[in-house]
Amino acid sequence: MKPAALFLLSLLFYTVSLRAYSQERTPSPFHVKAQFAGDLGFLSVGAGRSFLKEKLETDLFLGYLPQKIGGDRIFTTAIKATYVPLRAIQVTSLDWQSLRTGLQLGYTFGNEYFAFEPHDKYPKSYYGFSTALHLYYFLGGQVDFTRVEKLNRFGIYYEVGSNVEYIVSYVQNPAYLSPAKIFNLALGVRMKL
Amino acid sequence: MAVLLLALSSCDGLFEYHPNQIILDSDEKNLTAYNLQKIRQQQPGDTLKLIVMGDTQRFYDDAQDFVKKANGFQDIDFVVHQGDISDFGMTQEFKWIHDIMEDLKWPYFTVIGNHDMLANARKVYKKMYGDFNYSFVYGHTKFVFIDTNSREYSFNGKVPDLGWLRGQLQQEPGATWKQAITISHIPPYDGDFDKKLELPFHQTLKESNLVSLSLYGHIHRWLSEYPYDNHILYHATTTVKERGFSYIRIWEGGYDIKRIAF
Repeated sequence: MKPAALFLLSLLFYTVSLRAYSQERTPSPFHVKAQFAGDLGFLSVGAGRSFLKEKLETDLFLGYLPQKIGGDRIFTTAIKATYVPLRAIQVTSLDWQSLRTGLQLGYTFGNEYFAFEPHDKYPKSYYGFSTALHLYYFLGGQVDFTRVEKLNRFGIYYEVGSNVEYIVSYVQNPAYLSPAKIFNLALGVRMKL
Repeated sequence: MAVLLLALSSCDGLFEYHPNQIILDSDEKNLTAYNLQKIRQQQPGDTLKLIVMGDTQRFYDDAQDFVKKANGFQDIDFVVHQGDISDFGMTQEFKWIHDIMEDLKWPYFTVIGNHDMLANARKVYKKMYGDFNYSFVYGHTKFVFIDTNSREYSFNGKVPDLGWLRGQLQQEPGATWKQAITISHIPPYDGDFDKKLELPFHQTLKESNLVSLSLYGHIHRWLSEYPYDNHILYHATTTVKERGFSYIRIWEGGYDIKRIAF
Protein backbone atom coordinates (compact mmCIF):
# COMPACT_ATOMS: atom_id res chain seq x y z
CA MET A 1 0.00 0.00 0.00
CA LYS A 2 2.80 2.45 0.79
CA PRO A 3 4.01 2.78 -2.83
CA ALA A 4 0.42 3.41 -3.94
CA ALA A 5 0.04 6.22 -1.40
CA LEU A 6 3.35 7.76 -2.46
CA PHE A 7 2.35 7.55 -6.11
CA LEU A 8 -0.94 9.33 -5.48
CA LEU A 9 0.75 12.00 -3.40
CA SER A 10 3.47 12.67 -5.98
CA LEU A 11 0.81 12.82 -8.70
CA LEU A 12 -1.04 15.44 -6.69
CA PHE A 13 2.07 17.55 -6.12
CA TYR A 14 3.00 17.24 -9.78
CA THR A 15 -0.41 18.54 -10.86
CA VAL A 16 -0.26 21.31 -8.28
CA SER A 17 3.22 22.47 -9.37
CA LEU A 18 2.14 22.50 -13.05
CA ARG A 19 -0.71 24.81 -12.15
CA ALA A 20 1.59 27.07 -10.15
CA TYR A 21 3.82 27.76 -13.13
CA SER A 22 1.01 28.56 -15.54
CA GLN A 23 -0.45 32.03 -15.54
CA GLU A 24 -3.76 31.42 -17.28
CA ARG A 25 -6.81 32.01 -15.16
CA THR A 26 -9.38 29.63 -16.64
CA PRO A 27 -11.05 27.93 -13.68
CA SER A 28 -10.25 24.24 -13.55
CA PRO A 29 -12.92 21.74 -12.54
CA PHE A 30 -10.25 19.71 -10.71
CA HIS A 31 -9.29 19.88 -7.07
CA VAL A 32 -7.33 18.06 -4.41
CA LYS A 33 -8.35 17.47 -0.80
CA ALA A 34 -6.85 16.44 2.50
CA GLN A 35 -9.18 15.12 5.18
CA PHE A 36 -9.00 14.36 8.88
CA ALA A 37 -11.18 11.45 10.18
CA GLY A 38 -14.52 10.58 8.53
CA ASP A 39 -13.98 6.77 8.33
CA LEU A 40 -11.11 7.30 5.87
CA GLY A 41 -8.29 7.01 8.40
CA PHE A 42 -6.48 9.57 10.50
CA LEU A 43 -5.47 11.42 7.36
CA SER A 44 -6.57 10.94 3.78
CA VAL A 45 -5.81 12.64 0.50
CA GLY A 46 -8.18 12.87 -2.40
CA ALA A 47 -8.40 14.14 -5.93
CA GLY A 48 -11.50 14.84 -7.92
CA ARG A 49 -13.51 17.25 -9.99
CA SER A 50 -16.78 19.12 -9.93
CA PHE A 51 -19.65 18.93 -12.38
CA LEU A 52 -22.87 20.80 -13.13
CA LYS A 53 -21.62 24.26 -12.16
CA GLU A 54 -20.04 22.90 -8.97
CA LYS A 55 -23.28 21.34 -7.79
CA LEU A 56 -21.72 17.88 -7.80
CA GLU A 57 -18.27 16.78 -6.75
CA THR A 58 -16.68 13.37 -7.05
CA ASP A 59 -13.45 12.34 -5.36
CA LEU A 60 -11.15 9.41 -5.02
CA PHE A 61 -9.53 9.18 -1.58
CA LEU A 62 -6.71 7.21 -0.07
CA GLY A 63 -6.52 7.15 3.71
CA TYR A 64 -4.14 5.96 6.38
CA LEU A 65 -4.66 5.18 10.04
CA PRO A 66 -1.43 4.56 11.96
CA GLN A 67 -1.46 1.86 14.64
CA LYS A 68 -0.26 4.35 17.24
CA ILE A 69 -3.35 6.47 16.83
CA GLY A 70 -5.96 3.92 15.75
CA GLY A 71 -4.91 0.77 17.62
CA ASP A 72 -4.54 -0.99 14.28
CA ARG A 73 -2.84 0.06 11.05
CA ILE A 74 -5.53 0.47 8.41
CA PHE A 75 -5.42 1.60 4.75
CA THR A 76 -8.65 2.70 3.15
CA THR A 77 -9.69 3.92 -0.26
CA ALA A 78 -13.04 5.49 -1.10
CA ILE A 79 -15.07 7.08 -3.80
CA LYS A 80 -17.06 10.02 -2.60
CA ALA A 81 -19.87 11.96 -4.23
CA THR A 82 -20.99 15.30 -2.77
CA TYR A 83 -24.11 17.19 -3.77
CA VAL A 84 -24.22 20.98 -3.22
CA PRO A 85 -27.88 21.91 -3.60
CA LEU A 86 -27.73 25.54 -2.44
CA ARG A 87 -25.92 28.57 -3.83
CA ALA A 88 -22.99 29.75 -1.71
CA ILE A 89 -23.65 32.63 0.68
CA GLN A 90 -21.18 35.53 0.52
CA VAL A 91 -19.77 36.46 3.90
CA THR A 92 -17.28 39.34 3.42
CA SER A 93 -14.42 37.79 1.45
CA LEU A 94 -15.63 34.25 2.03
CA ASP A 95 -18.17 32.03 0.30
CA TRP A 96 -20.10 29.68 2.55
CA GLN A 97 -21.68 26.54 1.13
CA SER A 98 -24.21 25.98 3.89
CA LEU A 99 -25.30 22.51 2.75
CA ARG A 100 -23.25 19.72 1.30
CA THR A 101 -24.41 16.13 1.49
CA GLY A 102 -23.36 12.88 -0.04
CA LEU A 103 -22.28 9.29 0.09
CA GLN A 104 -18.93 7.64 0.35
CA LEU A 105 -18.14 4.04 -0.48
CA GLY A 106 -15.04 2.96 1.39
CA TYR A 107 -12.92 -0.12 0.90
CA THR A 108 -10.62 -1.35 3.65
CA PHE A 109 -7.47 -3.18 2.54
CA GLY A 110 -6.29 -6.35 4.26
CA ASN A 111 -6.81 -10.10 4.45
CA GLU A 112 -9.03 -9.78 7.50
CA TYR A 113 -11.65 -7.95 5.48
CA PHE A 114 -13.86 -9.36 2.73
CA ALA A 115 -15.67 -7.29 0.09
CA PHE A 116 -17.83 -10.30 -0.67
CA GLU A 117 -18.12 -13.42 1.49
CA PRO A 118 -15.59 -16.02 0.29
CA HIS A 119 -17.54 -18.97 -1.10
CA ASP A 120 -14.98 -21.54 0.06
CA LYS A 121 -15.46 -20.44 3.67
CA TYR A 122 -19.17 -19.67 4.06
CA PRO A 123 -22.46 -21.04 2.78
CA LYS A 124 -24.30 -18.58 0.50
CA SER A 125 -25.29 -15.30 2.24
CA TYR A 126 -24.05 -16.55 5.59
CA TYR A 127 -23.46 -13.07 6.98
CA GLY A 128 -25.14 -11.03 4.27
CA PHE A 129 -22.82 -8.02 4.58
CA SER A 130 -19.35 -6.92 3.62
CA THR A 131 -16.60 -6.21 6.14
CA ALA A 132 -14.38 -4.35 3.63
CA LEU A 133 -16.96 -2.19 1.86
CA HIS A 134 -18.75 0.44 3.93
CA LEU A 135 -21.26 2.98 2.71
CA TYR A 136 -21.09 6.22 4.64
CA TYR A 137 -23.58 9.08 4.61
CA PHE A 138 -22.56 12.64 5.45
CA LEU A 139 -23.91 16.14 5.78
CA GLY A 140 -21.84 19.28 6.08
CA GLY A 141 -20.69 22.59 4.70
CA GLN A 142 -17.71 24.40 3.26
CA VAL A 143 -16.10 27.80 3.58
CA ASP A 144 -14.18 28.98 0.49
CA PHE A 145 -11.59 31.76 0.75
CA THR A 146 -12.78 33.03 -2.62
CA ARG A 147 -11.72 36.66 -2.25
CA VAL A 148 -8.83 36.20 0.15
CA GLU A 149 -5.50 36.97 -1.48
CA LYS A 150 -3.19 33.97 -1.95
CA LEU A 151 -5.79 31.65 -0.40
CA ASN A 152 -8.45 32.10 -3.04
CA ARG A 153 -8.08 28.53 -4.26
CA PHE A 154 -8.60 27.05 -0.81
CA GLY A 155 -11.66 26.06 1.14
CA ILE A 156 -12.21 24.18 4.41
CA TYR A 157 -15.05 21.76 4.88
CA TYR A 158 -16.72 20.00 7.78
CA GLU A 159 -18.94 16.95 7.72
CA VAL A 160 -20.89 14.84 10.18
CA GLY A 161 -21.24 11.31 8.93
CA SER A 162 -22.12 7.77 9.86
CA ASN A 163 -21.73 4.43 8.17
CA VAL A 164 -24.83 2.50 7.15
CA GLU A 165 -24.19 -0.20 9.78
CA TYR A 166 -24.54 2.39 12.55
CA ILE A 167 -27.59 3.96 10.89
CA VAL A 168 -29.34 0.58 10.65
CA SER A 169 -28.43 -0.06 14.29
CA TYR A 170 -29.90 3.30 15.29
CA VAL A 171 -33.15 2.68 13.40
CA GLN A 172 -33.52 -0.66 15.18
CA ASN A 173 -32.47 0.68 18.59
CA PRO A 174 -33.94 4.15 18.99
CA ALA A 175 -33.88 3.92 22.80
CA TYR A 176 -30.19 3.16 23.33
CA LEU A 177 -28.67 4.75 20.23
CA SER A 178 -29.03 8.37 19.14
CA PRO A 179 -27.75 10.54 16.28
CA ALA A 180 -25.08 11.86 18.67
CA LYS A 181 -23.83 8.30 19.24
CA ILE A 182 -23.62 7.31 15.59
CA PHE A 183 -22.55 10.53 13.82
CA ASN A 184 -18.95 11.70 13.90
CA LEU A 185 -17.16 14.79 12.68
CA ALA A 186 -14.68 15.05 9.80
CA LEU A 187 -12.68 18.09 8.67
CA GLY A 188 -10.92 18.78 5.41
CA VAL A 189 -9.16 21.21 3.13
CA ARG A 190 -9.95 21.58 -0.57
CA MET A 191 -7.68 23.22 -3.09
CA LYS A 192 -8.85 24.07 -6.58
CA LEU A 193 -6.30 23.34 -9.26
CA MET B 1 -1.40 21.84 10.95
CA ALA B 2 0.14 18.76 12.59
CA VAL B 3 -0.36 20.27 16.03
CA LEU B 4 -3.99 21.03 15.22
CA LEU B 5 -4.58 17.42 14.09
CA LEU B 6 -2.95 16.03 17.22
CA ALA B 7 -5.10 18.31 19.35
CA LEU B 8 -8.20 17.14 17.51
CA SER B 9 -7.20 13.49 17.81
CA SER B 10 -7.47 13.77 21.58
CA CYS B 11 -11.19 14.61 21.28
CA ASP B 12 -12.36 11.07 22.00
CA GLY B 13 -15.74 10.24 20.52
CA LEU B 14 -16.08 13.36 18.39
CA PHE B 15 -14.14 11.90 15.49
CA GLU B 16 -14.05 8.40 14.07
CA TYR B 17 -11.05 7.56 11.92
CA HIS B 18 -12.33 4.19 10.83
CA PRO B 19 -15.07 1.77 11.93
CA ASN B 20 -12.32 -0.77 12.62
CA GLN B 21 -10.12 1.54 14.69
CA ILE B 22 -9.38 -0.02 18.09
CA ILE B 23 -9.40 2.91 20.47
CA LEU B 24 -10.50 1.85 23.94
CA ASP B 25 -10.94 3.63 27.24
CA SER B 26 -9.02 2.25 30.20
CA ASP B 27 -12.22 0.68 31.61
CA GLU B 28 -12.79 -1.14 28.31
CA LYS B 29 -9.60 -3.21 28.45
CA ASN B 30 -8.77 -6.64 29.90
CA LEU B 31 -12.32 -7.13 31.15
CA THR B 32 -11.93 -10.87 31.74
CA ALA B 33 -9.04 -10.26 34.13
CA TYR B 34 -10.90 -7.34 35.73
CA ASN B 35 -14.06 -9.40 36.33
CA LEU B 36 -12.00 -12.35 37.60
CA GLN B 37 -10.53 -10.06 40.19
CA LYS B 38 -14.05 -9.03 41.15
CA ILE B 39 -15.34 -12.59 41.66
CA ARG B 40 -12.23 -13.47 43.65
CA GLN B 41 -13.60 -11.09 46.27
CA GLN B 42 -16.96 -12.88 46.34
CA GLN B 43 -17.66 -15.84 48.62
CA PRO B 44 -19.15 -18.69 46.57
CA GLY B 45 -22.00 -20.49 48.35
CA ASP B 46 -23.06 -24.14 48.09
CA THR B 47 -25.42 -23.21 45.28
CA LEU B 48 -24.01 -20.99 42.54
CA LYS B 49 -26.42 -18.78 40.64
CA LEU B 50 -25.68 -17.73 37.07
CA ILE B 51 -27.49 -15.73 34.45
CA VAL B 52 -26.62 -16.87 30.92
CA MET B 53 -27.47 -14.83 27.82
CA GLY B 54 -25.96 -14.11 24.44
CA ASP B 55 -25.94 -13.10 20.78
CA THR B 56 -26.48 -9.42 21.49
CA GLN B 57 -25.27 -8.57 17.97
CA ARG B 58 -26.87 -5.22 17.06
CA PHE B 59 -29.83 -5.45 19.47
CA TYR B 60 -28.96 -2.80 22.02
CA ASP B 61 -32.48 -1.94 23.18
CA ASP B 62 -33.18 -5.61 23.94
CA ALA B 63 -29.81 -5.86 25.70
CA GLN B 64 -30.76 -2.89 27.89
CA ASP B 65 -34.07 -4.56 28.77
CA PHE B 66 -32.16 -7.73 29.59
CA VAL B 67 -29.96 -5.85 32.06
CA LYS B 68 -33.04 -4.32 33.70
CA LYS B 69 -34.68 -7.73 34.10
CA ALA B 70 -31.47 -9.44 35.25
CA ASN B 71 -30.82 -6.78 37.88
CA GLY B 72 -34.13 -7.71 39.50
CA PHE B 73 -32.69 -11.12 40.48
CA GLN B 74 -31.06 -11.71 43.85
CA ASP B 75 -27.59 -13.02 44.71
CA ILE B 76 -26.32 -13.82 41.23
CA ASP B 77 -22.67 -14.91 41.23
CA PHE B 78 -21.92 -13.82 37.68
CA VAL B 79 -23.41 -13.36 34.22
CA VAL B 80 -22.25 -15.18 31.08
CA HIS B 81 -22.44 -13.72 27.55
CA GLN B 82 -22.44 -16.63 25.09
CA GLY B 83 -20.71 -14.72 22.27
CA ASP B 84 -21.60 -12.70 19.18
CA ILE B 85 -21.17 -9.60 21.27
CA SER B 86 -20.96 -7.66 18.00
CA ASP B 87 -22.67 -8.06 14.65
CA PHE B 88 -20.28 -6.51 12.08
CA GLY B 89 -17.06 -6.98 14.07
CA MET B 90 -16.71 -3.23 14.59
CA THR B 91 -15.10 -1.89 17.77
CA GLN B 92 -17.92 0.55 18.47
CA GLU B 93 -20.37 -2.36 18.76
CA PHE B 94 -18.26 -3.98 21.50
CA LYS B 95 -18.06 -0.64 23.28
CA TRP B 96 -21.81 -0.12 23.17
CA ILE B 97 -22.51 -3.64 24.49
CA HIS B 98 -19.98 -3.20 27.29
CA ASP B 99 -21.56 0.15 28.14
CA ILE B 100 -24.88 -1.70 28.58
CA MET B 101 -23.49 -4.81 30.33
CA GLU B 102 -21.48 -2.68 32.73
CA ASP B 103 -24.82 -1.67 34.34
CA LEU B 104 -25.26 -5.26 35.57
CA LYS B 105 -24.98 -5.61 39.33
CA TRP B 106 -22.56 -8.53 38.84
CA PRO B 107 -19.39 -9.29 36.92
CA TYR B 108 -19.87 -10.73 33.44
CA PHE B 109 -17.76 -13.14 31.41
CA THR B 110 -17.79 -13.67 27.66
CA VAL B 111 -16.86 -16.33 25.16
CA ILE B 112 -15.94 -15.28 21.63
CA GLY B 113 -18.56 -15.77 18.89
CA ASN B 114 -18.09 -16.07 15.14
CA HIS B 115 -19.27 -12.49 14.53
CA ASP B 116 -16.61 -11.36 17.00
CA MET B 117 -13.99 -12.71 14.58
CA LEU B 118 -15.03 -10.64 11.55
CA ALA B 119 -12.84 -7.86 10.19
CA ASN B 120 -10.17 -7.16 12.87
CA ALA B 121 -12.52 -8.04 15.74
CA ARG B 122 -10.22 -10.82 17.04
CA LYS B 123 -7.82 -8.04 18.02
CA VAL B 124 -10.70 -6.08 19.56
CA TYR B 125 -11.84 -9.10 21.63
CA LYS B 126 -8.29 -9.81 22.75
CA LYS B 127 -7.74 -6.24 23.93
CA MET B 128 -11.16 -5.76 25.48
CA TYR B 129 -11.69 -9.16 27.08
CA GLY B 130 -8.59 -11.34 26.78
CA ASP B 131 -7.87 -14.93 25.75
CA PHE B 132 -10.29 -16.89 23.56
CA ASN B 133 -9.80 -19.98 25.76
CA TYR B 134 -9.71 -19.48 29.52
CA SER B 135 -11.01 -21.00 32.72
CA PHE B 136 -11.45 -20.29 36.39
CA VAL B 137 -12.50 -22.16 39.50
CA TYR B 138 -15.38 -20.71 41.48
CA GLY B 139 -16.40 -22.68 44.55
CA HIS B 140 -16.90 -26.34 43.72
CA THR B 141 -17.03 -25.78 39.96
CA LYS B 142 -14.51 -25.03 37.25
CA PHE B 143 -15.82 -22.93 34.37
CA VAL B 144 -14.08 -23.57 31.05
CA PHE B 145 -14.63 -21.05 28.23
CA ILE B 146 -13.55 -22.41 24.87
CA ASP B 147 -13.60 -21.01 21.32
CA THR B 148 -15.63 -23.35 19.09
CA ASN B 149 -15.94 -21.07 16.05
CA SER B 150 -14.39 -23.66 13.71
CA ARG B 151 -15.76 -22.17 10.47
CA GLU B 152 -13.89 -18.91 11.12
CA TYR B 153 -10.67 -20.97 11.05
CA SER B 154 -11.79 -22.68 7.80
CA PHE B 155 -12.19 -25.97 9.74
CA ASN B 156 -8.44 -26.33 10.20
CA GLY B 157 -8.86 -29.14 12.72
CA LYS B 158 -7.41 -27.08 15.59
CA VAL B 159 -10.56 -25.33 16.84
CA PRO B 160 -11.83 -26.17 19.38
CA ASP B 161 -8.44 -26.94 20.92
CA LEU B 162 -9.13 -30.36 22.42
CA GLY B 163 -5.61 -30.69 23.86
CA TRP B 164 -6.15 -27.53 25.87
CA LEU B 165 -9.64 -28.67 26.89
CA ARG B 166 -8.34 -32.07 28.08
CA GLY B 167 -5.73 -30.29 30.19
CA GLN B 168 -8.33 -28.02 31.72
CA LEU B 169 -10.51 -30.99 32.66
CA GLN B 170 -7.76 -32.73 34.61
CA GLN B 171 -7.95 -32.22 38.33
CA GLU B 172 -4.58 -31.13 39.63
CA PRO B 173 -3.49 -32.73 42.96
CA GLY B 174 -5.29 -31.01 45.81
CA ALA B 175 -7.88 -29.47 43.50
CA THR B 176 -10.83 -27.94 45.32
CA TRP B 177 -13.24 -28.18 42.40
CA LYS B 178 -15.43 -31.23 41.96
CA GLN B 179 -17.04 -30.63 38.54
CA ALA B 180 -16.71 -28.54 35.40
CA ILE B 181 -19.04 -26.67 33.06
CA THR B 182 -17.91 -25.73 29.56
CA ILE B 183 -19.11 -22.55 27.85
CA SER B 184 -18.85 -21.98 24.07
CA HIS B 185 -20.57 -20.11 21.30
CA ILE B 186 -21.20 -22.80 18.66
CA PRO B 187 -22.63 -26.16 19.80
CA PRO B 188 -20.89 -29.30 18.49
CA TYR B 189 -23.93 -30.53 16.53
CA ASP B 190 -24.02 -27.29 14.50
CA GLY B 191 -22.75 -27.04 10.90
CA ASP B 192 -20.31 -24.28 11.92
CA PHE B 193 -18.51 -26.64 14.33
CA ASP B 194 -15.72 -28.77 12.87
CA LYS B 195 -17.37 -32.12 12.00
CA LYS B 196 -14.08 -33.96 12.54
CA LEU B 197 -14.01 -32.73 16.13
CA GLU B 198 -17.67 -33.14 17.05
CA LEU B 199 -17.47 -36.59 18.63
CA PRO B 200 -13.91 -36.14 19.95
CA PHE B 201 -15.18 -32.99 21.71
CA HIS B 202 -17.97 -34.92 23.39
CA GLN B 203 -15.57 -37.75 24.23
CA THR B 204 -13.21 -35.27 25.88
CA LEU B 205 -16.01 -33.97 28.10
CA LYS B 206 -17.28 -37.46 28.86
CA GLU B 207 -13.91 -39.05 29.64
CA SER B 208 -13.15 -36.35 32.17
CA ASN B 209 -16.09 -37.61 34.26
CA LEU B 210 -16.40 -34.07 35.55
CA VAL B 211 -18.77 -32.47 33.05
CA SER B 212 -22.53 -32.90 33.06
CA LEU B 213 -23.49 -29.52 31.59
CA SER B 214 -22.20 -27.72 28.51
CA LEU B 215 -23.51 -24.25 27.51
CA TYR B 216 -23.96 -22.62 24.08
CA GLY B 217 -25.41 -19.71 22.11
CA HIS B 218 -25.35 -19.15 18.34
CA ILE B 219 -28.52 -20.99 17.28
CA HIS B 220 -30.86 -18.16 18.32
CA ARG B 221 -33.39 -20.48 19.96
CA TRP B 222 -33.76 -22.63 23.02
CA LEU B 223 -32.43 -26.17 22.81
CA SER B 224 -31.69 -28.48 25.74
CA GLU B 225 -30.84 -32.01 24.81
CA TYR B 226 -28.61 -35.02 25.28
CA PRO B 227 -27.49 -35.46 21.67
CA TYR B 228 -24.83 -38.13 22.28
CA ASP B 229 -25.69 -40.10 25.42
CA ASN B 230 -27.47 -39.64 28.72
CA HIS B 231 -24.56 -38.03 30.53
CA ILE B 232 -24.05 -34.50 29.30
CA LEU B 233 -26.77 -31.90 28.75
CA TYR B 234 -26.03 -29.52 25.88
CA HIS B 235 -27.98 -26.41 26.70
CA ALA B 236 -28.33 -23.57 24.17
CA THR B 237 -29.74 -20.24 25.35
CA THR B 238 -31.80 -18.17 22.93
CA THR B 239 -30.74 -14.66 21.87
CA VAL B 240 -31.38 -11.40 23.64
CA LYS B 241 -33.38 -10.40 20.54
CA GLU B 242 -35.81 -13.26 21.32
CA ARG B 243 -35.95 -11.78 24.79
CA GLY B 244 -34.90 -14.79 26.79
CA PHE B 245 -32.06 -15.87 29.07
CA SER B 246 -31.18 -18.81 31.31
CA TYR B 247 -31.14 -18.72 35.09
CA ILE B 248 -28.94 -21.58 36.21
CA ARG B 249 -28.38 -22.86 39.73
CA ILE B 250 -25.44 -25.18 40.25
CA TRP B 251 -24.67 -27.30 43.28
CA GLU B 252 -22.25 -30.15 43.83
CA GLY B 253 -23.47 -32.98 41.62
CA GLY B 254 -26.38 -31.16 40.05
CA TYR B 255 -27.94 -28.15 38.42
CA ASP B 256 -31.26 -26.62 37.53
CA ILE B 257 -32.06 -24.44 34.49
CA LYS B 258 -34.94 -22.02 34.14
CA ARG B 259 -35.81 -20.23 30.89
CA ILE B 260 -36.62 -16.62 31.69
CA ALA B 261 -38.53 -14.31 29.33
CA PHE B 262 -38.39 -10.52 29.48
